[in-house]
Amino acid sequence: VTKPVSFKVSNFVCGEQPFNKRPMCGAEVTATIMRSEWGMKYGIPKAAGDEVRIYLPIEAFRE
Amino acid sequence: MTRPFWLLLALAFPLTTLAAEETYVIEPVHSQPMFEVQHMGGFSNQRGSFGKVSGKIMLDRAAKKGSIELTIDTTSIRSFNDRLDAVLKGEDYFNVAKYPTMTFKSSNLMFDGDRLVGADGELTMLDVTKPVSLKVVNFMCGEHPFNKKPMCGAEATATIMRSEWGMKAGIPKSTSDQVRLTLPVEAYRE
Repeated sequence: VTKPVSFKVSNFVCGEQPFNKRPMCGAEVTATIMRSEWGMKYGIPKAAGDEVRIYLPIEAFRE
Repeated sequence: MTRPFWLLLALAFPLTTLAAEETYVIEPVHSQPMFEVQHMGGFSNQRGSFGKVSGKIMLDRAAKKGSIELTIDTTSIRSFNDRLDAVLKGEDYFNVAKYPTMTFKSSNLMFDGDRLVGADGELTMLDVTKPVSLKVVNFMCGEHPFNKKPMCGAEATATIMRSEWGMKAGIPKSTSDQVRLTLPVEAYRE
């Protein structure tokens, strides 16, 4: 199932990794989805909520 | 409200039960403390948790009093990376061989009405005891939907500077001094 999701990006920062000095960027990406929209309906609402908060900490080295 | 109503209420709930202190026992599976630090001077936030926790919460919601006793098994630390777990269990960080537990104790709970909203207490980590203020949100009590047992749940958060407990390794290049703690709590009434 493919559905649209809007991700919010905070704490975006680029610079040198402090140990190996390679250029990198980092950020925190978050989104809140309703899992039932993808057909994952099990356990709603008693066992676990429909609403799911997703956190994606990201670090990426420049190639 | 009419007088007979209050009389009925007073007969149904004598003062002794209204003022009673209740004991809630931590349900460990859904009460795993989480932590969050900044990595590499702020490139990302990294998280982990402790898988083993036990404790009791005494609540007297009518008197707006109570206490909390939590014990966290430091050997149960998990960072989602096995190599890092070994570092965190080592001498520079939690030194779990010497300090297998950390504790939080509070007998100063804050209420808004009958809702728990905070707790001022003391965190003992690496055998150092310092004050920590927990903020409590989403406090709710009711029946567990499946087994119908009475329980309360909440989310407690605090931000600490780990160096105050002597855990100074890696600050600030590797990981931050500031640690954000998030404690989801579910506890059954005894």
